[in-house]
Amino acid sequence: MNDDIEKYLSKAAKPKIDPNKKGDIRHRVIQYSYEFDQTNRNRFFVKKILAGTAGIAAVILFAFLIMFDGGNSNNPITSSEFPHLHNPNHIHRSLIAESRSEDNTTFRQDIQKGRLGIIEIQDRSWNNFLVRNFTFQQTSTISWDVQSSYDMVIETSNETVKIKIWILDDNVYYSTFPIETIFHMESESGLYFINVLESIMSGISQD
Amino acid sequence: MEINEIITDWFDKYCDDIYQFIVYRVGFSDAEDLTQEVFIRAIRSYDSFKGETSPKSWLLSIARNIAIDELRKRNRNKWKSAFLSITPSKEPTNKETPDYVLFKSEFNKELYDAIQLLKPQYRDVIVLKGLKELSVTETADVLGWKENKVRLTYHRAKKALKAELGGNLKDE
Repeated sequence: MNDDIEKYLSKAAKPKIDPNKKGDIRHRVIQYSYEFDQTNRNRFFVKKILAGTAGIAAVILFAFLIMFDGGNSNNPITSSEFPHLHNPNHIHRSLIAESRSEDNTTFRQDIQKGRLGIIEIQDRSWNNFLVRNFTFQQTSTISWDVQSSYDMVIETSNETVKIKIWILDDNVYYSTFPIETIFHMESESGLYFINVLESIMSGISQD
Repeated sequence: MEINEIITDWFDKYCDDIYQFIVYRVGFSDAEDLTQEVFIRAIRSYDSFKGETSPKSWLLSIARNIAIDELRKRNRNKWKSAFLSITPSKEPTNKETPDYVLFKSEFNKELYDAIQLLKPQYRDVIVLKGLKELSVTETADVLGWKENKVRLTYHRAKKALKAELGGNLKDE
């Protein structure tokens, strides 16, 4: 009986691209391949120059750091050390996944665009939410035994921010990674955030 | 041969194969753009093509990855509109596109719809092995599976397809 299906499939319709559209696509693909080829040749040349320059710059910078490292590591944390999510337009994308760390000392390495199980959000209203609610102002404490719930990466124009998120009793706590100071999200926003994340995750598990 | 000559040659030979795979895998909507994307991605990652598989299998494996990304993107937009109050996409669904209307009128709508109902693994193997008539080896290359897995999954996929088709198994 499965052979019937096989015959049936072999006779199935095989749609073709409209010839006019096909010509356009062909043209664009060929155009792109020329540009790509050209860019790559130039890039290779620039890379070779940059490699030499970067090496020299790295040696100078290293020497400079050794000379001027004056015990700043013991300074208290100031707000300037936390990311500033001021402008939603500066946020390119957010990537979120469930945490896998058992002791909060590691961050998911596979949080990258297009990976299985990783949520990617590029949305103005989401960015507004992040700016309004990840303020890094209301400090809090939670037990170190509690495993983080989600790992989130926010890519902005200036930096890539890694954030660990804990959800405890309908409250959202967060910290930059590596963890130094824990912050608490305002309760109402926290509840909304939890709902959104849980809905997203249940959507993924159904795919 | 320069990369642009190779890509041009591949485009002329395999563009319809890629398009057909995408149509059956993700639907008519955006199928042409996605076909173009396959060749763009092939250009970008040409250095990784080692010639261990045929160019057609390699392009189809790229097409499969693009199809998976596309379906994932569509799913993301589904929940995004639900939870972030975003206006749903106004893009036409399969059932509205002129291509689909033509396809439906000329060919076997039941089969197309039944394939869309299969789970992704089954859909992959039915389209590649059944519709595109790739060999077991070629199908295994595209999907990155062992040949035995292709045989077994294809067997199960045909059963599932038959169940979806019910009494609609008829010649065109």
